[in-house]
Amino acid sequence: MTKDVMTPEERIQAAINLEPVDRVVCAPMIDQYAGQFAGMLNKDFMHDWEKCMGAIDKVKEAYPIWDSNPFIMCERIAPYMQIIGLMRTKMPGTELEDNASFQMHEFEAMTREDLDIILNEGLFPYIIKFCQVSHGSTVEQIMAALPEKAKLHADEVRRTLARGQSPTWSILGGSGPDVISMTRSLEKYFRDVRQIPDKLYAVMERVTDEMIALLAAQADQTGIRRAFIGDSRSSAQWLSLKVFENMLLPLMKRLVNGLNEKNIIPILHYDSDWTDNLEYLLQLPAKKFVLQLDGATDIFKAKDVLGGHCAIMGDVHASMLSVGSPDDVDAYAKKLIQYVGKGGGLIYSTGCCMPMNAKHENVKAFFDAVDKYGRYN
Amino acid sequence: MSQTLINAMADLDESVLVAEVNALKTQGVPALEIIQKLQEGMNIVGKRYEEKEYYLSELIMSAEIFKEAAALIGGDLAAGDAPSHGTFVMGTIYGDIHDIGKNIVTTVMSCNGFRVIDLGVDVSTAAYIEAIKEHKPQVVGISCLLTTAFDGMKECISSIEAAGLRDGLKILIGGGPCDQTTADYVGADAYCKTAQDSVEYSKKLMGVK
Repeated sequence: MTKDVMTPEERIQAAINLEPVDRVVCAPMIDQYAGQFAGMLNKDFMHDWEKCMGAIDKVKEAYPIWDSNPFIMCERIAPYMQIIGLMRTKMPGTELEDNASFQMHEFEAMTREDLDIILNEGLFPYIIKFCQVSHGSTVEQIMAALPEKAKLHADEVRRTLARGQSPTWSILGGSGPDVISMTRSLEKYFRDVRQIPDKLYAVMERVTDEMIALLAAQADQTGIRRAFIGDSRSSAQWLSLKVFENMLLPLMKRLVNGLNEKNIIPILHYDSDWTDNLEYLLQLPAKKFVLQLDGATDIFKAKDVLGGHCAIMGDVHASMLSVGSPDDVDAYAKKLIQYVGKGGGLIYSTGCCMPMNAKHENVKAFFDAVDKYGRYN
Repeated sequence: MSQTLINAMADLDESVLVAEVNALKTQGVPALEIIQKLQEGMNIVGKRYEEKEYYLSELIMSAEIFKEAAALIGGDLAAGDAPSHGTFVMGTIYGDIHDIGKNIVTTVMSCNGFRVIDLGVDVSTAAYIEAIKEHKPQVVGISCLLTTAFDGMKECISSIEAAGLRDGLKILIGGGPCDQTTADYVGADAYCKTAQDSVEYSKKLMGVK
């Protein structure tokens, strides 16, 4: 086995720039699985920050080849997610049994009329109202939770660096379509798309601009200029290519270009099936974004279309990791690393998060594949 | 009158549809007749989806509008005695409260002429078994968004089989983390990546052209 010659930060930057790397970037999204790996109940993992971080430490200790951390727990830790999270949530140990996975429940928390709040007052008052409706939070609770959550965010970046990992991203945000659809509900959002497209576009444009400003301010604090951008509802799995061309692609360009102007690289976390939208992503600036896929999009086609244009992150499937065999994982990882990684630009990862009930032997196979297939030096 | 209502449903023109339903109600047109016209409009929605004129967003919206119209006349989505291709029982497995995927599938199946029994979310094995005994479906759909629900799916399917209800019954699974590996693991007859997959599978099973 050869040794790493690049630092994790050098490696991920090279991967994003489509430059040669010593070995593939290894960046699985690990949240609730870590608690199971460490032998704790999920209620402890989700509610207790120190236990949560300690569990993630244990995964890193077991798999030192995990060199880039697409962290998410500062957004999910129960005490704050249930006050200021962007979705109503049921948590283990409170609403669910002690070792259950947390679950999000989407509903129409915000009405069509509430969109005027964004146009007239901005995103923040809209989010305040959402938290009041969705979580029953008071303004005082929200204002107290925000700086506490920010401390956890800073702590998660610090701990990631202390483990010797690069933060795959250091800041987390969402696209205009995701912010609106998750607060309005999928059904009501789709009605808005059809019935009030001009107003909706103006709303999402404002959200986009405020998101850029917010993320830029946070990037200034963390010093690492890579941002997670969630967008799971703009793909052709849901909406026609005509709507995509007229409404969603312009917003996407606005977001990516706006972040790029602030020297921020967005990692576009694109859940759902984007296969039919892939060609459009060539209109985004080359080497200035990363496409992260969850297994629903054909990642091999993504390589065919976008290879040489942007780095691609993904996508060992959740199903394979939870009920497949180590041989299944090994074979898929080999194909992924050899095909999507050919010529560079692969950030080797899970399709969305490592399943909480992933088999430990499958997780081992996931990590082992880096040395088996992902060494280039 | 009927064609306006059918077209409004098919074109997802909510304001025309609501006005037309209210007008028909005032004229004393029986609720069942109005529901049947709405269903005709839904059939066109399903056809447009098959032909890729409509996408999932339109399907989801059609279900919303249909429910709204049916509520105006005191009916529901399953109302009417229109002939169906067969019966489809669907739910999200216990331990999982996600409903978006389940709602899409029930809508698409309904649009395509199947009688749909929607069991909701967090559905117990006992509820599936009871529904199979009561409604005698040709196809059962089980969805989930959590990999931690896979074992529940497996147990549910085993229990259906143990209850002697699997003969002549096909069980489909779907949902975000599912794939063929999952279908093999839980013992389902097929994995459906999209809602349309469930339609095609069911139509083929029932010999519908």
